Amino acid sequence: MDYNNQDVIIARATPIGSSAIAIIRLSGTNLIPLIKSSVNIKNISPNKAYVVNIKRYNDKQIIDKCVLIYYKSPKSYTGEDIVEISCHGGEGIVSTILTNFIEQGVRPAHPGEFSYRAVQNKKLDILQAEAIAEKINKKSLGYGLGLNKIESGETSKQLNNIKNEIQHIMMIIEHELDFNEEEITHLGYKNIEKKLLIIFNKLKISLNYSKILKKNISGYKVAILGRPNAGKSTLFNNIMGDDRAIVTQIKGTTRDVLEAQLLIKGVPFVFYDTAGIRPTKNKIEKIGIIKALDAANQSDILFVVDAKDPESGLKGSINLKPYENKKIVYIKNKQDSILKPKARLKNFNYYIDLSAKNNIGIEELFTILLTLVDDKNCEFDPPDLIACNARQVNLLEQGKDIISDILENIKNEIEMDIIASQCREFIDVTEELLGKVTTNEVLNGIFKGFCVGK
Amino acid sequence: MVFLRVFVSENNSIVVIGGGHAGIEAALAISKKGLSCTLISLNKNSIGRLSCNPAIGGLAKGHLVKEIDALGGVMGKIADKATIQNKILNQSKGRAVWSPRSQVDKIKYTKYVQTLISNDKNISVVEDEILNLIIKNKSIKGITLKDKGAFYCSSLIVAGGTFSDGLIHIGSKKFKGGRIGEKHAFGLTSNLKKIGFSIGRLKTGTPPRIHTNSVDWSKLEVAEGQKEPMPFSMYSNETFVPKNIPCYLAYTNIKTHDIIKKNIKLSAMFSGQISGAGPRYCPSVEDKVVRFADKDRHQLFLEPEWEGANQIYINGFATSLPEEVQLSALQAVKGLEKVELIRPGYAIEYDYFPSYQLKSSLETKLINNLYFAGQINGTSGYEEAAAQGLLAGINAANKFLKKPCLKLSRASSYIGVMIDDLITKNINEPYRMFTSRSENRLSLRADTAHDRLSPVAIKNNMLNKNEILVFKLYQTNCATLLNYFSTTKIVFNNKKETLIQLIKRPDFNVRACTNDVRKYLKKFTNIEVFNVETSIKYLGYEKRELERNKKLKKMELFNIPVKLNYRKITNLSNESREKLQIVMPETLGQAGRIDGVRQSDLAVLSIYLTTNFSRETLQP
Repeated sequence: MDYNNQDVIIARATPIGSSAIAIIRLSGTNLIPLIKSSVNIKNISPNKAYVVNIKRYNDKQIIDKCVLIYYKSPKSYTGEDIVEISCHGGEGIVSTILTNFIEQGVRPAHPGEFSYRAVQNKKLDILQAEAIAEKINKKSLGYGLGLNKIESGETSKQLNNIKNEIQHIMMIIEHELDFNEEEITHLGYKNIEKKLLIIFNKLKISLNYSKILKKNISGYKVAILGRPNAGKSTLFNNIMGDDRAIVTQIKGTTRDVLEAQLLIKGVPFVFYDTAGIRPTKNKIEKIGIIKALDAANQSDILFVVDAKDPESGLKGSINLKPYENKKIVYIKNKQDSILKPKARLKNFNYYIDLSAKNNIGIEELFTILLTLVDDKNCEFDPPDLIACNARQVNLLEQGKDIISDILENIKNEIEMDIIASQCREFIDVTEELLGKVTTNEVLNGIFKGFCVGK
Repeated sequence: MVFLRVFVSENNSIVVIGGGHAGIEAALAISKKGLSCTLISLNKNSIGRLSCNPAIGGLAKGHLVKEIDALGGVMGKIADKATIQNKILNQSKGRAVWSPRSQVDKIKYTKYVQTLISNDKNISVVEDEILNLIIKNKSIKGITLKDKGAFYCSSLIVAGGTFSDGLIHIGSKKFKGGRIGEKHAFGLTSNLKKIGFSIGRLKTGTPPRIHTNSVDWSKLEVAEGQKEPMPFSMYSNETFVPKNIPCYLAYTNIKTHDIIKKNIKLSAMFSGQISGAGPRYCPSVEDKVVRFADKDRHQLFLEPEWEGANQIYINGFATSLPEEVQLSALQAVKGLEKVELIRPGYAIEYDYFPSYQLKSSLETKLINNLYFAGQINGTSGYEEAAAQGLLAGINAANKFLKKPCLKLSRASSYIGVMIDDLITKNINEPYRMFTSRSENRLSLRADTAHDRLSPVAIKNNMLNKNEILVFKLYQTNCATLLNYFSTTKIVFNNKKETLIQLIKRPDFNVRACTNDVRKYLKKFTNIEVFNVETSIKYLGYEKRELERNKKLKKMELFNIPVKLNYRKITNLSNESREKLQIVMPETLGQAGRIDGVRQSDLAVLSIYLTTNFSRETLQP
């Protein structure tokens, strides 16, 4: 897909399917004559809502009564002229309006093409575009306050500040290296060290929060494990408040891993219902068990469910050692007679008695879950500098490592030529983060992840 | 020196205009490659003259001289022979920025150059002034000389320096010239302009020269040279024992500054009389007094112009103030109370040809077989000029011999960095080399110059048999030494480790460890030991730079077809399109370094190229 052109593009910005209103967006240069072919309107001022009839350009048949807003370049999302048409949400109307413009030479937009143009026209930087991508990505669960920091440009600003500071340090070092005159104010090791320590701490804090933000976007993963017929699927259904998993008396009913997402007090979780674990020769069951262990591997939290003794229930069938540093909640299920569920903490693991079938103890289980995750109820205060995807975290991590290398070198009184070169490396990393040295492949990769219409 | 009496059609010779540092290297390179060439100079006695300071090398410039030597040029050899004091600058900083600098005897330097040229059977010197270029079908065919008329040639290297429409300023006085007291060339720039080259104006300056006997030397600080001097040339190692004649330090004071400030309006550079941009980093003394108003003293470096000279160069006092102001400002300096001027300092304005008009071979984009080298391209400095002259000479000869042109990448050398900067950056002040201009500073050290470039020189027939032998011996010795370091273990701080491990530590000195090691090292030259030791210290950093370059290599190897019409690529932003159309980059990498070309437009360009041209066209 070639994103680098100046075609006028069109796309629906709302999802396919009937709805009260659908929004259609056009972007390009000089849109007004095109719009006037289908709308009877003399003067269109930017940023005003007009109620208009959209007509077919050839036979002047009215398609729909719509609201039309015109954003004039450069004050628009893409930086080009944008027209947004809010029409009735019927599929027929939407596609007729789309066709009406496509027949006049307008091209259907590629995924993320509006944002791509925004980046090209310097309305957004790559960091901002990536934050938007996370926001509209179907997989994204939590809203993540941090995303707003990135989208608003605050993160880019912070990053630029840090870059400028390093550039300043580098400038002074370079000056010392390239000029032998006495006019120069020298910056001692101590001074550089002090400045770098501040930057190092900023990056460290930022990376910690970025990890929380990542969870906020992707959700904390919880795998429900246990022997066959321990009531895992019942618990899963009860947590979701929905009959998602098939529940029978037959051992081994669940074969595949079921996945469902849930927000608990704003914190996103992904639950995995898994096949019961026991020694077996059945091929299909064996595959199910492998998948269950796989899910456990990828999870942050494990629910180990058993009707009798959750702690030792699995001991005979699998080795729990690899999961020792995961957070584990041992759930004694089928405790139908209890009136009040008990939750205990032992060896950093939680223990709870509950009844999934009778919906006793589920609230308490949620409370335990929330205490287990870092960001409690999502009301953490993210720093201005934060990263929202693997690319950003990776580069930020690289930057932090370089600064820590420089600090180490300063401690060992390594010469300035080497320190200057490391400063340059750091600046390269920040520039890559800010999208100043991004290759075409990276760019296309980022924008293909978008949906059409953004 | 062979003087040509009859000027018949010499269709197959190469002509070099100018006998400065660029012209010398160009002519000698052409000759070394077995071709004959004609060197045209306004005055044969001024060939190889050092017009400004009596020194070669210095920060980053020392690196250039080493690279010139490695590529088979002569500057390093001549400087070594004429050295009266040698010093390695920046020794308190890392070895990547250590840079040799030599005070040279100007008279000897010029003499050695002239002997070299006159002994060279392939070079004929013609004393004349060039008036016109003869051009047919966008190719150079010859030149018209003032006295001798039409002179035909197959290629032409213009290395005319400041002699093209030079204008000298001393206070409000101004007169035409290239160097004070010498002839200058008029015709060339207007002729080149007519052909279609664009022209800019730059300025530079030189300090006054004073009488040795008028200085009270007892009041000045002595600045001695290096105890263990380091030659530029690999081929002068055994013979390099400079005399270590001292220089002296003096300092300006508030009184000096007051005199300058009071008369600042009389300075040609401040009165608005000069329009060309001057170098920020080599400021005139009036510039320093104004810009660093809080400093109450500036260092002056008094350098003898030759051994036993009666003439002293005052480094740090470049000026275009009236002569009498220069004198009274200097007389306020301790030790210079009774100073007498031999020649005042002056500023000179001159024409240059903005260097985006060149290919990376230094051939002009406009006219085939026409090359520009040196100050004419907007650079400043002997070393910068010599490096360009050398490259232009090699390339003119290569083209003549139908051999591939020599392109030096940014990662290969400072020369490569300079050429790339010249082509892609807006040069609006005289360009001089700095180590910070390279993104590969830790690899492009002075001590790696020969390792990096001598193999290139051999490939281009730029080293003679003896030179190749010396280089190969050096390589073998270094390999032996490296092998010894990696296999020999000694006890240091109660731990047994290989020397290679220990050398990486900042607190370990291989010259001051066990007797056995010291004895072994005696088999090698100081330079071999130093170079191998340094390469071990920098190995990790070199690797990192190498990895970074790998990432960029794809762009560097992406060729852009010549004469691409950027106006046809409608998706480019206007700004980028204009810049690309003017510069006409050779590769996508070069395109990316042009000031003002946007990252997103590079993507547009690469897509346009891959969809419109065959894969073969785009590969080097």
